[in-house]
Amino acid sequence: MSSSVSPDVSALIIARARFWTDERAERFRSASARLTLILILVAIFLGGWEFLKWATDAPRTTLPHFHEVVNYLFTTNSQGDKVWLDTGRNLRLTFIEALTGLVVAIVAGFTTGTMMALSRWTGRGIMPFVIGAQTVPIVAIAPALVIWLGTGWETKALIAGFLAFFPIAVSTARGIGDVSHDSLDLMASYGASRSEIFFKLRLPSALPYIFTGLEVAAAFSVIGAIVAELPVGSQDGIGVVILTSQQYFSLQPESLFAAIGGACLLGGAMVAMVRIIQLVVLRGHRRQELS
Amino acid sequence: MTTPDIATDTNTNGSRTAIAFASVRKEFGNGANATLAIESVDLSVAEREFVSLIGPSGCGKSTLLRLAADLIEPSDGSVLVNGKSPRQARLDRDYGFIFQSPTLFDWRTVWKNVALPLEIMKIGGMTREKRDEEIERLLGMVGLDGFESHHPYQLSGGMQQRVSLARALVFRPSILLMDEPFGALDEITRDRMNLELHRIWAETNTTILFVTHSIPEAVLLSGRVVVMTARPGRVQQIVPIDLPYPRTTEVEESNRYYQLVTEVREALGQAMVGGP
Repeated sequence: MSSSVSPDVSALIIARARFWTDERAERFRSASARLTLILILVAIFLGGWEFLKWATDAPRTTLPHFHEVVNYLFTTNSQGDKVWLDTGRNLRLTFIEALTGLVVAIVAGFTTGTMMALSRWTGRGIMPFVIGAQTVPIVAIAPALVIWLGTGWETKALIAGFLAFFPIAVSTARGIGDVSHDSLDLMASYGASRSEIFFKLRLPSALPYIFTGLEVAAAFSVIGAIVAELPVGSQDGIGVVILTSQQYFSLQPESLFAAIGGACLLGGAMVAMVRIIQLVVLRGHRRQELS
Repeated sequence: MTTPDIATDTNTNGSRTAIAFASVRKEFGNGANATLAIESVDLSVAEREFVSLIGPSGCGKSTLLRLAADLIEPSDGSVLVNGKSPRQARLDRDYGFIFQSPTLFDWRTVWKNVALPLEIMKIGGMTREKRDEEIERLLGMVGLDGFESHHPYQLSGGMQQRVSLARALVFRPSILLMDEPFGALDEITRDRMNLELHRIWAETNTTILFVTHSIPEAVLLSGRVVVMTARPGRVQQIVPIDLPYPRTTEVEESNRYYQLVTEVREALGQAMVGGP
């Protein structure tokens, strides 16, 4: 009996052992370590919040308890909606604006950055415009754009894209242009065409740079969308919630904190999304990622 | 300048000329800022010959190599590779170039790095199976069995340079142009790589033009050592190396080897002092 069972059991143990390879175990350890770190940081944040409130003896109308903010999310607002549901709906709109803007910025930024890197004269021609665009104070010009183009979500997406454009264009230009002389000579020695040099050398070697720019751009796109929502005339979006909450701060301070928390989560989610795509796309790029 | 008889020129051994430099001059920059890198260089390398270029820094060794590879063009004189212009030879994939840095693409595995030239060259009549077989054979030849799916950053410097060697050999060029390929390696790795390169050279029937800073390396590997003068680079002296083949560790310990090392060192000393 035992002789017929034990091979199965040992096979199972071997399979188990194989599953827990060093690599997997290492990955698990680093993932759980990261999770622990995040929990510790959250605890420090909440502790700091409550300590600040206790130390300054701040009333609710200045700084509510954290649990009061959480509780607020589950109350019902004047329209009869659950607050968390309403916040979620507004966040969704802002997310769509930011994401659309980001996609537009990726297309425009990548194209511009590539031209800046590959063509000396186009590059020099475009550069002042790119820098000029970046120095335009977006907070000041957003109301004008809303007036010109209307209060639709597309306008906000455009402003989000405008803000996200710069980091993508610059990182693309850096990455596409930063190729070693030897690599170019190597490709030349194979008689490679311009497009082969681009797709087999320049683009893959630029990807780590581009993703760095993309992470910044993802955060910028959320900021751009929120700033675009602030001007009078907008109906929905987390920016509008922030604006209204400010007006009612003395009555309902939890509302502003909830809205800010929501906006932070959205920005974090956008950056996390880019990170996940990066992990998939840059599987073979370990060294650049580390340095 | 281009004379057809250079192309069919035969040396003393009766074999064909692989690379021929005739009164080659190369200037970088123009006007007052121009630097003369090499001047009136005449040199021919026979098919299946192993020739080393050695000389003080800035003597234009690499410039000669790049001229043969059509990575730069001569200011004057002519260069012929397999009887053709360097450009034609480049387009015909007559040579493989090996740099001092392995110049591997980090995002590609070892296997895919070696496959790179084949991807670009689209060599006719090569089936996928044949291609895979060839890559496997070469990785075996440079001693990298089992490292196919590693990425370059997971390998040591010596192993990276082996990958680069396999990549240069994969399309079977008749000529290898090597620009201080082992210059960045430690002494022990370098010694081993030298002997392996020598074995590969013998196995593959390639012509090698080899730039180096190391006198022992040049003597051990070459049929002839070309000693060049400092800027502008000229050929100071050509030292024939009459050591027996195959070049092994025993050869490295022979008296003749030491005599030749001394001879090259003296020629280099003269090259540093002034020109011929």
